[in-house]
Amino acid sequence: MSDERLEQEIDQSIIDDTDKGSFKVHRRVFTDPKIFALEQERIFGHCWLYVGHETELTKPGDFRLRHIAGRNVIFVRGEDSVVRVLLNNCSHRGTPVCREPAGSAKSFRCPYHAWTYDTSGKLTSVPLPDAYGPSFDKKSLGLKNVIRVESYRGFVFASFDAEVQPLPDYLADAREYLDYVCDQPASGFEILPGTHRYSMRANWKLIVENSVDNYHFVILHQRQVQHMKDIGVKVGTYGANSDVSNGKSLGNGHGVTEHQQLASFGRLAGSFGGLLPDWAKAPLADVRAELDARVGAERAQRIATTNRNVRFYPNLYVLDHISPVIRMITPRAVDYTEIQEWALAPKGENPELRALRIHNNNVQIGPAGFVSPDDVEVLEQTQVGLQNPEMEWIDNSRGMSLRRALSSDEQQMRGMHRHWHKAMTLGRVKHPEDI
Amino acid sequence: MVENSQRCGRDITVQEIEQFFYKEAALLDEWRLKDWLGILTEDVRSEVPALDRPKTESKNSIHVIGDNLARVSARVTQLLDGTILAETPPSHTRRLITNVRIVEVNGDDLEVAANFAVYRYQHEKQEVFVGRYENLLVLRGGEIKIRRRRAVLDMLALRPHGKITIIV
Repeated sequence: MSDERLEQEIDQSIIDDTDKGSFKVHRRVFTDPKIFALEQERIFGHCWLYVGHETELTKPGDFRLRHIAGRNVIFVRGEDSVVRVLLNNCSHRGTPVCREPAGSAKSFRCPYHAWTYDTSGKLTSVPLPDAYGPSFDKKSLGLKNVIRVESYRGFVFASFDAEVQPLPDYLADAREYLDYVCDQPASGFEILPGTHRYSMRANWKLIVENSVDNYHFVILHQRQVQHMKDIGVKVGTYGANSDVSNGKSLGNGHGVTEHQQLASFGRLAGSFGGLLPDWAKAPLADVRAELDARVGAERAQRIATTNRNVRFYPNLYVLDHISPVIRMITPRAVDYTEIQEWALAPKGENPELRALRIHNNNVQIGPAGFVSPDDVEVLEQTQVGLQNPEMEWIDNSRGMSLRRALSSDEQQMRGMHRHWHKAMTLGRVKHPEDI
Repeated sequence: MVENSQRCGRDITVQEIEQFFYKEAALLDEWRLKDWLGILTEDVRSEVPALDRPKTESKNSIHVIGDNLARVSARVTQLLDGTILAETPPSHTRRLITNVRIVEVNGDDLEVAANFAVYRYQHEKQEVFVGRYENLLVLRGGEIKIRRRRAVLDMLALRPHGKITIIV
């Protein structure tokens, strides 16, 4: 297929008809390896990408290997305490200099010819250097920094586009929702030890949709719903009947679903619920009183009693339920996506609440929780379903003609697809405002 | 490592513990999950540590699974009532349990190590879970029960498995 034909197919891959309330995405967007390859350049090559949380690197020399935009990078706190994102390539032949997924290092030594770098990326030693000529300049041969690195409230992002807008602007309206999460503890959050590392044999955008899809919850997740009934916890009202129900596009591909459907389980941000033991009532009342005093009663109510899934396009999700979880996705092939999840907890938390937080971390989310495995299964089956050429278009039109933005509707998915389409067509195709 | 036969309320042999594990594996492979719950103590802990923290206690680190009896019973209910999409219809599993070693005997408590491979087949896909069990077994009324089971997986990521929906 010529490049021109591929470009045409991409141009025609979304039907967005506001008057008819019709929004459809072509199957090839989820199945064509050529489109996947182009996404690495046009989407991941230009966005801000989540790399990690500052508290993962507590002391100088701490590092984590991460994979963003098809590149292996070292997320590292240097001896000078500065957090950097370095390309994991020896300047000599390109061999990765860091081979451990996580740890603490004094230096990174290439296994091939022992060129050695300090933890800020500076080339410190080259064996037998006399054979190099006068143009050989160790100063210019350090590990390459990813061109832009910025952080917001501990969340570190990197971009390969030197011209990308500043991170706070890029986060657009999603910033407010990250604040609802980060405002929970006065002391600030830290990442708990342990990582959920799993995958889905599905296109990354199916996960993007699913992570902010509240329409499916009471249907696909009967397992969790029935479990809550069995232990006597009421699952809250749904869709248009709910007190709080937002499903919004937040600009730049970001989105949110916010609801109180599952808030009856309890939230360690400061509201007691049926999934928590009775003894937790008193300490959670203290948590809430502190929150009320610090941010005001109205904002505290929003923070403490509302569940939210926030998408920071394209690779970060904050799933703020009983206790907040960070999900980072790494697309590896058109039909295969790696997933990592970490848990957030207040620094210096009361030990009983910390134990409760850990005990409840894996009850819903995570690869053996009562919720996420069904998402993995249904998305893998969907990916198989989309192999049928006759299954041409998927539908994301819920709520569009009603001009509403409920958590059970799909504006937050349309927003992502419109943003994706604009970037993939290099601006050739225009879309209406997010509705 | 202790002798194969050790006094702990009564004589117990490695062969007897192996037979216990084989019977347990049969209960799980045959989906007789309610009977399987019967060999757990009321204060049981059933755990799968995070794959990057195989040695960390469940109170200090997030876990893939960290079940008490209530939660493991809920898991069994869900497996049997058809609400887990990935286990409907039930997957075919085969558990191989080997390298059984009595690590320590303390009264009626037995620390026993074993290796496992669990093969799972569903929708023409095969998944293999490989690792070791750290078991705390206890003699109750002459019967062996499981008081603590840590299934420490050797894989560094659940890839391409994507999930654990069976009892490992």
